[in-house]
Amino acid sequence: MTTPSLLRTPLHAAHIAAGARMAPFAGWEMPLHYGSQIDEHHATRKACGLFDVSHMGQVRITGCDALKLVQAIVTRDVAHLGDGQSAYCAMCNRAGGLLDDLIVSRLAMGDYLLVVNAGTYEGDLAQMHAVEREFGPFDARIDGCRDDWAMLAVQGPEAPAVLARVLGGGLDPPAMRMISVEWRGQAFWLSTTGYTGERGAELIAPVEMARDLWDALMAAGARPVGLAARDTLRLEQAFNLSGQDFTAQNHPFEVRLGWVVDLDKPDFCGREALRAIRAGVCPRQQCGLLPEGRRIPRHGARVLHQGKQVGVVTSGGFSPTLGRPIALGLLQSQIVKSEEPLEIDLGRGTTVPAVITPLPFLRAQPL
Amino acid sequence: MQPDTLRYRATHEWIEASGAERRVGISSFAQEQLGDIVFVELPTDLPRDVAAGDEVLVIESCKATSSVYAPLAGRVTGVNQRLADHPERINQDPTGEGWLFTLEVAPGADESELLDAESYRRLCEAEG
Repeated sequence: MTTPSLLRTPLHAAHIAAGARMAPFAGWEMPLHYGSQIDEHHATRKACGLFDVSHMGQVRITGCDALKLVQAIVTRDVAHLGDGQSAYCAMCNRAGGLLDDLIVSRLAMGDYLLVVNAGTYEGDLAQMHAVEREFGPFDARIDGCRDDWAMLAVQGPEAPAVLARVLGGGLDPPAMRMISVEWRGQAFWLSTTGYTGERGAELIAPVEMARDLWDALMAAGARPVGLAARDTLRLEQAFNLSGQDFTAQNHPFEVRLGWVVDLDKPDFCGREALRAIRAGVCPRQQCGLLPEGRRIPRHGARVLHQGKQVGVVTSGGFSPTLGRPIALGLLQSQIVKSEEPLEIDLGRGTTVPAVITPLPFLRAQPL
Repeated sequence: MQPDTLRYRATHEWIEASGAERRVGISSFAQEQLGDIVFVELPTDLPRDVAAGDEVLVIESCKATSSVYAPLAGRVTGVNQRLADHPERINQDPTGEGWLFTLEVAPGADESELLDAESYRRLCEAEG
């Protein structure tokens, strides 16, 4: 199953010790589950899950012109970010195609940390350098530094209590903050972000701290959760998965990311194209789909109206919280408005009726 | 780990080694590969005659959709109705409580393709 060329996180041995089933993901050997992905999903919704997300990519942008460069890279206006504040952002190519979604945090004046997806890390870095050349010159540096950092997500209603047990009390910042925390004499970043819709944080820590932090969080009551449950947790909240729910073939507006496009901020890559797209008609849009029955539509399943294809499922899975299959689809906008009955093609001649449903599938908990 | 009283198909079904009407299920290796099973689409048009290799039912796990095939020619006579509410039994006890259906094996059905426990174990090792 595993290939020697796969990258391993600093927590590889911890996963093996916890009985993980490992699987390749975006070039990394990652824990898929530790026995039951459904149990892990429920543990995160009801208590506290611990995720190794060290495969995520960190990029540091520093210098007098760091803000200007970040502004040229992402579509959202991040000028308002103060020290320790974070924003969910997107980056596009010149055609307005979505290259990735990411979190931008201002660590200090002229010092930004960008956290991007694992599978897009190299491409994102190349894009950032291209933007630097095209929109520059900037007095700023781009440092891809994913090898320096481990990243652990602590998520769930009990996450604040688990974090308090390990790090001491008084650490309960509001959502979308990034603060420096000292633990056993070493500093790391605590970011109140996540991919589950639950309360909690992501810890961005030096590689050598990873195992101790992991063990301490486990001892404090967090339960390890693999990528399989991470996927159903994010799908219930209708969070896009980069490379699956969108690729460079999609623009932000059609995958419900128009809110991170600020056309009136200083120039950024893709602005002209996005302005034209915004002014025109959007032929496709992302929707939630509830298939009838218990068969599960998967990525790539065709969505039909009267036997004709009108869209495609981009993510489909079983929702442990709702006890039923759910799916994200990219559909013709006309069909979405018409509220006509739809079907999903499960392959080999089997179709199931499906209805469009408001998103998210699950209402997010207040962070 | 594979019980000796069972025979296996290379597509990871097991069938009881003897008897006229035999239980069929998926192997422990198969359920492990699939992960959490959340639904079994049990056939309702029974009894149904099948050839070896015909699809009998579909299992949905969180990870994938999988077909289960008839290991031998015969007649599907019944299904494990308890799986309708408890598909997770397949994960918990794949060769026991998690059986899927009963097959009345056709007289003279060719069993030469089936594997014994040891051959099947070697197949899983090669795949695993």
